[in-house]
Amino acid sequence: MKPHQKDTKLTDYALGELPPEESVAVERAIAADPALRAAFVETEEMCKGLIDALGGKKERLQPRQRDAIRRVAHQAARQGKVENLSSHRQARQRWIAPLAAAAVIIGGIFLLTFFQKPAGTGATKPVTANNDPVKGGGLEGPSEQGNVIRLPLKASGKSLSQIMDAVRGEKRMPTKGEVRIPEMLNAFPLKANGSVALWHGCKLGVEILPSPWKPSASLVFVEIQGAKDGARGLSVEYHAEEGVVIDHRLIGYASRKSDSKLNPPSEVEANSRMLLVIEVESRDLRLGSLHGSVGGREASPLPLVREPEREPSDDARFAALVCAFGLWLRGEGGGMIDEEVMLALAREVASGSMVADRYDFLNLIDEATKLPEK
Amino acid sequence: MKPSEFEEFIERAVEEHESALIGYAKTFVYDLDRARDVVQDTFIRLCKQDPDKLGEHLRSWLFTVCRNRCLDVLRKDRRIEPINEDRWDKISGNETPPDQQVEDDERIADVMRFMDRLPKNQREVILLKFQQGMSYGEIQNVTGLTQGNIGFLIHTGLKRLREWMPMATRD
Repeated sequence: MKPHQKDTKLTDYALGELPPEESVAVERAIAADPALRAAFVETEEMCKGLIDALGGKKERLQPRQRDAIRRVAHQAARQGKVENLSSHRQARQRWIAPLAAAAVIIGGIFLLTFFQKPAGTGATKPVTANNDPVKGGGLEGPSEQGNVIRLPLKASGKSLSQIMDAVRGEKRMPTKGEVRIPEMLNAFPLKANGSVALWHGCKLGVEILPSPWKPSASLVFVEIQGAKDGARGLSVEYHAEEGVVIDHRLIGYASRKSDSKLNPPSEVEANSRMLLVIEVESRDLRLGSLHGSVGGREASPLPLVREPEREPSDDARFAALVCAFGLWLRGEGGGMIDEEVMLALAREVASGSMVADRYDFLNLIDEATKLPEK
Repeated sequence: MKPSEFEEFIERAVEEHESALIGYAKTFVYDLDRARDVVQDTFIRLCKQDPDKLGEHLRSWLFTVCRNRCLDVLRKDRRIEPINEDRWDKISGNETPPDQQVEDDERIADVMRFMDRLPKNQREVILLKFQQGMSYGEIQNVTGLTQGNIGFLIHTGLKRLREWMPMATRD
């Protein structure tokens, strides 16, 4: 045996990878050669050190990621099998045909909106929320007062599972009560890829993109993260820009006017995450700001300014698609969101490297649009 | 397999393999959240498989799919540069008590700094062996390398690490 072969065998032996007969030969060689024995001891120590250093760290999936896996497992178990991944590509190809038509429709909507919009008066309109009261699902509603919305900080529930059960299992459109947009949004680990503010341990991320269904509006995608080292009493408010914002609403929530003093800050758990989307119609790029406090301490406001040159992230586009689908299912698209627009949006977010649960969501949209009655 | 058994199978697979897969994915994508996304995707793909066909190869299957997803992500992002010290510190998690966490993070960051100097194939097989505790046979299934080649890569990788790493880091 040549020296380098002997060395390799020694490592294999230290790692328990040699067959018994070769192990015996190596053991004999170690016993007979002090230099080899010293090399073996050193190799063994190195291996133990590496196992100790590399093997100890145990990271886990986030609860919402586990829920997403359970949801897909539940669907797969009920249906025998969910669609094969290869069919996602076929499904994507189905978006291509409607895309051109949708582009024409979106263009038409833009022109109509542009020419029909009356000249602004400069006054801030009170909040108008088109949504019906949202029932069930553990949703905590927003408080509104004039041009301020106190943002809800919790949305736990299984709306997406209920929609899947309705569309795939029972072949029917889900009811309004089953479609709770904040829960749908928070079923995906989406991140806002724009401005960031650190508020005494908590983190606010914001990304602003043009509304895909209403060219005169912007969507403000807000990501609120709890502190890493423990729960905090947090309050977050959206303040619309005075004299500039024409209209705004928190997507998926009912309008409930109340005094924010009666609505104390919420306890936000460590590492928790909440996603919200605010639709803002503004005369210019200034949309307002986010204000708040953590544990009674005021935090620096985060200004919301749209940057027209900035390309929206994949997550923000996907969040817009989730909102569009939810509004369409609830019949709250205001005539702006129809099947063609939604399919075009779905086509826009589809890509070869998309994660499976998002592909699954595109398929869900596809299946919902094919249901007989809406 | 009954629906409830299938769901239990997935639940058990997540419980048993999530940490190992996240650790593995992290060494490719250098970002804990992104590694979690890849692992979530891996388990969602598992939901589309027939457990009976996977049999005893579940672990190898998971690592192979996870590895391919990581490579897809890297291809898309072109994030192929080795990670620097600050980034290793940044991606360390926060689920252990603070004191222990700092100690663990420093230790991992120290070792990974040396690991990043190794050629890619040596680094990968060493991580599969020492971080994931895989046998040469399992590493072969995941990487497609021969067992002889795997043994040689580990041996030469260890030799280099031994030369570079100070005693304190090794222990």
